Amino acid sequence: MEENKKDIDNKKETSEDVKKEDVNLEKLNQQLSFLQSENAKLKEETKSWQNKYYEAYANLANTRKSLEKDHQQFIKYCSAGFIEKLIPSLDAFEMAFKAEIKDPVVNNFAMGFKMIFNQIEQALQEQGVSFISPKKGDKFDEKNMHAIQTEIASDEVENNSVCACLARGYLLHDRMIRPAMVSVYKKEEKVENAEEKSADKKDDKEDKTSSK
Amino acid sequence: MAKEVIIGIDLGTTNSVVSYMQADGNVKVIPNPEGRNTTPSVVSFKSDGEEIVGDAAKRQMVTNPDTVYSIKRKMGSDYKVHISCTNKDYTPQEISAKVLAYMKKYAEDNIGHEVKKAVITCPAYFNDAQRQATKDAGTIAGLDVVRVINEPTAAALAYGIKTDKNQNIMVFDLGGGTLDVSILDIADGVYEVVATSGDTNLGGDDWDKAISDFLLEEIKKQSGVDLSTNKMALQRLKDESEKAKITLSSSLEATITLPYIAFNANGPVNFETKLTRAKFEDLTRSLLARCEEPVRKAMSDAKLTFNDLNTVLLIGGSTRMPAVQELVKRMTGKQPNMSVNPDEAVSIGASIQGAVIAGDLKDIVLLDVTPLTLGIETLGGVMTPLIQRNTTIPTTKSQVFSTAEDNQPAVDVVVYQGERPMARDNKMLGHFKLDGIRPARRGQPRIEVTFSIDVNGIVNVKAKDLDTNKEQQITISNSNGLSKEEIDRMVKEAEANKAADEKRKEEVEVRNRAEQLISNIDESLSNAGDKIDPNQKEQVTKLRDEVKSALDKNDIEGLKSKLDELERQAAAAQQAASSQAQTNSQQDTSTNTSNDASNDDKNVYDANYTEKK
Repeated sequence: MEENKKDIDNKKETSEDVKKEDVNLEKLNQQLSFLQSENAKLKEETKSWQNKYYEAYANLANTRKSLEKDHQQFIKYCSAGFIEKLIPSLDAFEMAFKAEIKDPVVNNFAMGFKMIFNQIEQALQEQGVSFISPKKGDKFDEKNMHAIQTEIASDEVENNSVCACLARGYLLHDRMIRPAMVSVYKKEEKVENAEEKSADKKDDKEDKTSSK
Repeated sequence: MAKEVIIGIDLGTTNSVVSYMQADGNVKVIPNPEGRNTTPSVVSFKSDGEEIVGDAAKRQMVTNPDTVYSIKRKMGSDYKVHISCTNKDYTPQEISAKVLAYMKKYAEDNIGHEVKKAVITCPAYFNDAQRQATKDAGTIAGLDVVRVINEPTAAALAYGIKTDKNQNIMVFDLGGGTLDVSILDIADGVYEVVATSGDTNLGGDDWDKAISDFLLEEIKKQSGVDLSTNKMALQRLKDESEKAKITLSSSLEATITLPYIAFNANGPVNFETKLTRAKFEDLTRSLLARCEEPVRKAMSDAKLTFNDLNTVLLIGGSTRMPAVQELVKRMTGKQPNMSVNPDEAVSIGASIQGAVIAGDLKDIVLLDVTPLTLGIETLGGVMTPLIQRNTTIPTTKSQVFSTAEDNQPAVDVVVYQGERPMARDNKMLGHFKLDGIRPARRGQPRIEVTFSIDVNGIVNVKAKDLDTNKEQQITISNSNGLSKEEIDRMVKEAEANKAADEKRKEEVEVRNRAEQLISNIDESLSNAGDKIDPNQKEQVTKLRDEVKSALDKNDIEGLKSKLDELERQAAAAQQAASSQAQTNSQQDTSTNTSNDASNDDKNVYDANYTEKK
């Protein structure tokens, strides 16, 4: 009997407790839901940060590769600027040697200068420089030649062929530093046509020429 | 996997430039196959059907009447170019398309994958037909032109002009062949071109021609030779004139040298002259004057006074000339901004616009940098930097230091910020002590000092005794409290005091070396005790005393020469000692150990001196 009373009392207590427990349980369930959704959100965020981190790392690696590539290029062509600065002097040497020298004393000096010039050429070649020296009759190629002027072509010569090399061109490895400066043979009728074309486009050519 | 890249193209009258924004937010200008950043807007047609664009087209212009240039002037009109060798007519947009296609190709080769989209720029005064023609040119070239933007707007973007503040900007664009002056009104987040003016036939080439013409006259005067029909000579004159113009932008005088420019009855004609900046400006006075009117007109059309202008931007290679910069400064009363490469700014701006459209800019993480160098104070009051200024953060850097005295029980870590070589001239941010260092000779303990800066600029400095593993640290949160003005001032001060500071630092280093030496000698002598040869002991003691007295007198020069001499002697002594030791061991295997000790004494100067403190 006492036990029963206790049981009833216990049951009374328990039903209040049960209500409390229910409330607690609901609270806990809510908390659990909240934590679960937070967890899911954080997992997403973590994944996103992870991706960003890997992407940043990858960008760094790619940037370094690109810099290495640029660096190699730079090293390969680093003397290009300097060589370009030397070219007017080299041109002048060539021009000097083209002239005919009658005075034997002057000629002697000129020969000495030619030897010095050859030494300079040697040094350039050791740096990777090669020369573009088109000859008369060679086909004009705008890839490595710059046409300074045209000459009227007779029947013996090809149209668009080189008439004379006015100044040779320079290559550093495979990069052109300065094209060969040439005069080009043009057939007479084509030259006339060109003049007609210039007349057609005269208004524009004036426009173009003054501004280029 | 490759991110969509939108290239930015400045399609110019004379030259065009293409660039793109890289992953880290930096814009890269793409070099063409000839290695140049600018490509001539020239197209040529050959009878075999080949089409040539750029530098190569320019090189054969003289031989080929089917060469088209400055086609931009005809964009949006009904004009058609007739090409004889193909017997076809081309619209201006078809010609421009060939330039664009050429650039698209070399851009793709450089970037490493296909490029489909582009932003192309056009002058602010272009009408609808002209803008449409620009867009069409892109389409014909195989590009999806996501936007055509105004050149002055592109310039403003390249200069980082933000739209959060209302302001008025002048863009002064003097290129190879045209002058364009534009007034931009930036308001409510929008760039609006409110006025434009210019001169369509004024450019850098005109300045070159002024010099060439002057040279032709001078040569005729001096040698009687008229070179005006000699194409090769004219080419040389043109090249030298351009070189001289560029030289005069940074020097007051340029020497123009033309050996063997011609041959007359007397033989070769050599010509050389000096062109001063003053003379150059005299020769080009009328050209400069032509720059003034468009500036005034643009301002009056915009209904603004020069006081209303917030910024003036310079675009176009010819704005590198000091006279042009002076003119703009004088007229507007503002120091013009030319911090972005004037040849490339418009293309850079177009790339930035492309990146904004692609949504790239919001993905870019903009990181800060440390504005000033951070470091600690080391022996002698020297500033030892650990993180250099302008290092992108977050970052971590460690370095191992040591003690300055024998049996030093603790180290003081004093953190400084600044560019001066002596610590006390910089700003102290904080300090702490690390103790518990085991007794040892100076220079033996290993104290690792680590600086970390997090993404918010909070500096943490940690010192760890690598032998005891004991560590201490502090966190400094106000290291970025300096304003831009203060930072600039500190950097300038460092520059101004550079020579004096370097001298002081050297003095300290010499003193340190001397002190180290004395310490080493004292130690070796006490170790050697009686075993050392008396003569040698006297010699070494005399030396030590000399060094000490020079140190006390602060005779830095004297110390330096003594130390250098000592090093030489020590090297020689070591040589002798090691060969002596060899002979000794060869002669007699049962070598007297005291002999070796005295040989070691000779090595006393050659102590393992390191920079560790």
